Amino acid sequence: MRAKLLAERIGWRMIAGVGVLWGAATAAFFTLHGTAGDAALSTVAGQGADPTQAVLDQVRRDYGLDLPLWRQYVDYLGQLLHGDLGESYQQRLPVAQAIEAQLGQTVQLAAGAIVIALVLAVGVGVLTAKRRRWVRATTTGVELLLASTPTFVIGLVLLIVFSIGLHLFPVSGQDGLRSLVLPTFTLALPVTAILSQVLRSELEDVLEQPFILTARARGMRDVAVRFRHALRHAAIQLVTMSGYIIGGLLGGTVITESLFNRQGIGQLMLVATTNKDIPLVVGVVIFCALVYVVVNLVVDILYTVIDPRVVTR
Amino acid sequence: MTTTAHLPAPRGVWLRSRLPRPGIVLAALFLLVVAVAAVVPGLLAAQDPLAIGTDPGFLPPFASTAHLLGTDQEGRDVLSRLAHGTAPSLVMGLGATGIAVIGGAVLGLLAGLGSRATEAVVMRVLDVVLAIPELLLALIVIALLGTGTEHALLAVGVATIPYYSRMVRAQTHVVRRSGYVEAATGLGIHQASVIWRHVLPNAIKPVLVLATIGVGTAIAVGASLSFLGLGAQPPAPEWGSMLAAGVQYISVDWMLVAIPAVVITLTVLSVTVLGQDLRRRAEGRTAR
Amino acid sequence: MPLSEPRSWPHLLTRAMSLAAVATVLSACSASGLSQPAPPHGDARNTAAPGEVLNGGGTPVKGGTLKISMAADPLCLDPHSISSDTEQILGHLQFDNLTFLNADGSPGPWLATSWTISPDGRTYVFTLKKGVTFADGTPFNAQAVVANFAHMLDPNTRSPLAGPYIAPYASSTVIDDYTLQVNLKSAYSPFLNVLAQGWLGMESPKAIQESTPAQLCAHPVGSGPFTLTSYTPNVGASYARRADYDWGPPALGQTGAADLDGVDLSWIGQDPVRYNSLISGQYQLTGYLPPQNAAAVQANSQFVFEDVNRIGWPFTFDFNTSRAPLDDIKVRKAIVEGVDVNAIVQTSQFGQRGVARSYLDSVTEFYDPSVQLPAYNVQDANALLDGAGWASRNAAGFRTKNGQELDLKLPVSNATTVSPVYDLLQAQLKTLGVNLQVEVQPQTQVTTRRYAGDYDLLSGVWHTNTPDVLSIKYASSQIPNSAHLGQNLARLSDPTLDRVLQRSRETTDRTELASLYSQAQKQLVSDVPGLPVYQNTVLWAFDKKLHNVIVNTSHGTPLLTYAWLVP
Repeated sequence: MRAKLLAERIGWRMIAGVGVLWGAATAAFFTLHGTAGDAALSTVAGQGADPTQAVLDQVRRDYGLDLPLWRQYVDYLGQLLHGDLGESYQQRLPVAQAIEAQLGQTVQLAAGAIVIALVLAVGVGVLTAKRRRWVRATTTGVELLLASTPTFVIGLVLLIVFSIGLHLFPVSGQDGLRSLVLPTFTLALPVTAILSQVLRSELEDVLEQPFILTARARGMRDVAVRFRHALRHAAIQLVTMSGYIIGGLLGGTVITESLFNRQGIGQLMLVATTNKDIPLVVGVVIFCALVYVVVNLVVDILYTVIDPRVVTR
Repeated sequence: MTTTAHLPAPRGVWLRSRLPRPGIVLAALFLLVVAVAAVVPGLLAAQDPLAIGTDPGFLPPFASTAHLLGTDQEGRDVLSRLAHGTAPSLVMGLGATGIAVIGGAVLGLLAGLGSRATEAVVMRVLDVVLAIPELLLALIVIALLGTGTEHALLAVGVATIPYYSRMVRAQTHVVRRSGYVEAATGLGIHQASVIWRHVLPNAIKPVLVLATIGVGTAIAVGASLSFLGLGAQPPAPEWGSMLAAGVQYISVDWMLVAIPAVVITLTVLSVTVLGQDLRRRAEGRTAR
Repeated sequence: MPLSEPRSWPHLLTRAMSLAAVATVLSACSASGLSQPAPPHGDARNTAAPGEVLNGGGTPVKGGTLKISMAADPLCLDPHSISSDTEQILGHLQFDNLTFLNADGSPGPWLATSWTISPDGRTYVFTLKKGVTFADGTPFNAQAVVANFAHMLDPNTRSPLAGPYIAPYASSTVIDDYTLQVNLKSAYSPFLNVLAQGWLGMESPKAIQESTPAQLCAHPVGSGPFTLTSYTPNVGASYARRADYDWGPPALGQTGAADLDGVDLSWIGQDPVRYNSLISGQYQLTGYLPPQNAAAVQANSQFVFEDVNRIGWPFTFDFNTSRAPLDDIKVRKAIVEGVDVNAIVQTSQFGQRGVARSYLDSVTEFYDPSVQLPAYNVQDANALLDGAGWASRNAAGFRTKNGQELDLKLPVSNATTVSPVYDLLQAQLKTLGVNLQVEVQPQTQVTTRRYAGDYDLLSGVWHTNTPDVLSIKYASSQIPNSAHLGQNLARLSDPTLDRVLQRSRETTDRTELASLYSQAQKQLVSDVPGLPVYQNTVLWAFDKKLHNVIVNTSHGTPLLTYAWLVP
């Protein structure tokens, strides 16, 4: 009975997810095509270029930019159904391939940021919950400051101090772990600040529960109580926030990658939107929406695992 | 079928810190100065922020009484540019939040009070907006409409609509379940007046709290867009674009980066601190 | 922080003279060519002459990988498909050209060892070098050249520069494997010059034939001293030495393969990051040094700093002469006289670039130093504006005519860092009562407006290697319209100028060319189609461990063919 309900629920969620993808693709397609600026011109005739008319005409024909908009849309949807995201105007590569080429770097950065954020947040949160006033005041102050500082300011501070000042890490590039340190921390610190606050707040509620008192009465050491018992209960809140965090990371990579001159999805977004590379922008939108849909689906399933009552809700 | 139980909210909403009172006072004082600078920038800095005089560029702070915070790469007074850049930066924060609140209220009420079909359509549209990261949405809007504070503002506003509309919708459900609406409609009271008398007063507190913190987030996002070269247009002074210009000269004069960075951060921090205080009051908690 | 003085005219004259001196030396000892030790520097601004050997002398060290940084990835390394400036540096690592410019700007031999030109200027017969192979083993011959021309002109290549540069090309006749006759539709005297540009490098015909445009972008194959071993878009590229290379430009006076094992290239978009990574030793050479950091690098004894003037059209604001208010020559003259260009250049370029007072960069062949725009004179400018009917002023202090404010719209792309030049010009025009509206927009919109004529001012540079840049920028046939693209963005239509420019394409007689280009420059100064601001220069720097870097005669960029590195 429960399995059937769960399967049904997942089924519905997947249909809704496809709807979200279609909606995002359609909205992006029409807004991009429908506005000022000639996409064919911008493809071949940027600053410093002196293309011939023949080239321009060829590009219009190649990408169907000479067809009426509804026709272009129908053709695009047809392609999408075959899993084809089209060809990037600028890079002349299949969009899927262009995204794939950048994905690894972003995943590396984002995964690193999540790990750092989780470790720091859990450490700080667990160790400072229900502590002396000055400990909490100091950590809250730092957290508040970090959460309020725009990502690019954090990045600049790290860059000035550790790279330009102390020469500890390279200013840019992607060779090796050393060049990954500063961008990862840039991306991780604001997330850490928020996570540790949430965690501490949850922990403080949990630490007042009777079962904690029981554990302490059994003679369990304080640190063990915090990590073994309290943390497990506070973890649900972290799962709840994962969708929000991943969305924030995807946006944060634009700033981080541009500041540290790294390749990745963020750079791709920036380049694609400024060049009006329509298939690439729509492709990136679909990709981000897909991440969102999948993360929410997973969170949803996790919920039902953690708390069976959710299914019947 | 509703979406996930979780409600993503802008950064800062979970900050449940309990800051000591002096922090709140300091934040309020700082914002007062910022507000004065936004309304009458001339009071803080008498010089023309655009004037390119005979003074040399890259004067350090406090080196000259004429330029308390020094001069920038074109010899313009940094303090004046900072003061005159306040209004556009605040307009960004307030405007984007205004759009989000109004759009959120309209869509939230539509979803909360409309038919099941209306609710489903509205919620799916909001899902689509949520599915696109805020900054990507802003990049697209700017790619379409061009750079400028007003476009950045629109983009950030639209991107944050879902948070408010979900909140308003949740509130209308609470009100609905409490029986007000059925009773009121049963008595023949017009729906508009039900919304006005019962739904909005209930929704206003949490929305206000979210909006206060949202203003801080929007200022930060606006500055980020200016930093990417997509915000305010030159030579108009604006904090984010001052910072972006300063980054070019970071090896020559890092104060041009540090000064706007500190001001932006302090502003966002102050707004967040006040927003949290407001939240605590709304939730009936007192500082421990 | 001390700023060096802006480059003054006497200085530029000295530069022109030293350039002439180098040319004399060259013709005197053509056997040893460019490798003559350069005259001692002593120039505070470190402007090197075309062909000069920098950090030369000593015994070359073999081996080592040179790490260089560049500003932006063109996202394609096929020279025929891109217009990116970086190709002048990268192109000459991987590709060879038919010609190589001499230090005086005249075309000299490379893969084409000699040529004859028919009297009507429409038929060129090239003799090609034997024994040259591409990196994939394909031999270089007449068929290969034909395949290259065809590739540049194929609309599917979407060539933004190479194709348009050989637009007059009609057909080729292969006489034998190493003799090629090229037939042009019309006489085109700059033909041999443009063949020396990085974008017109020779690619393997096999690679051209077997690759899609995207594949060719990712892995083009040339005959140059280095071959491409890897390319990661937006990150970098690696090049490895070709051991059997032995066909460098004869003008370099050196033979054989490169001394370096390879070149590792990274793209670093952020100016401060690029500067700091050079100083910290992460890279040994940067192709694009930010002007704001030039003084610091110059003061650093560990580096060689270069600020090389480029051939072509200076950084200029095009005036849209096809619509009001700039269709009125009085208003155009008023702007040119009423703006203190010296002040703008000094503040915005940190003393690194010279002021431009004509429509050709001063290092361009046939540049006429006697032709100059009128000097800064505010009284004259105001009188001209009053005389043009813009005598009254509104509350904001801007001039008006029939209730209309004197507004000028300047669309600027947000893709590039917004230059302080715009702010400075805006502030100066305000004092004249002219309201300059800088409109920062997405690149797409700026491009669309550029070709639609929807602007009053546009800014830009056009660096090339021939004075024929004046035809590209100012021939009336180059005015863009709905059926034809072009670069005459001033939309200038002057029949006298058209005749002079046309004749300059028909003759290869250098005396006649000198007189024709001088006439063209004079005509432009009287037409006032724009506001030239600064001489277009390219700033680069390298670590003194790197030796034997040659200033490319074509675009002033570093030529690394025979560079060597001390470990």
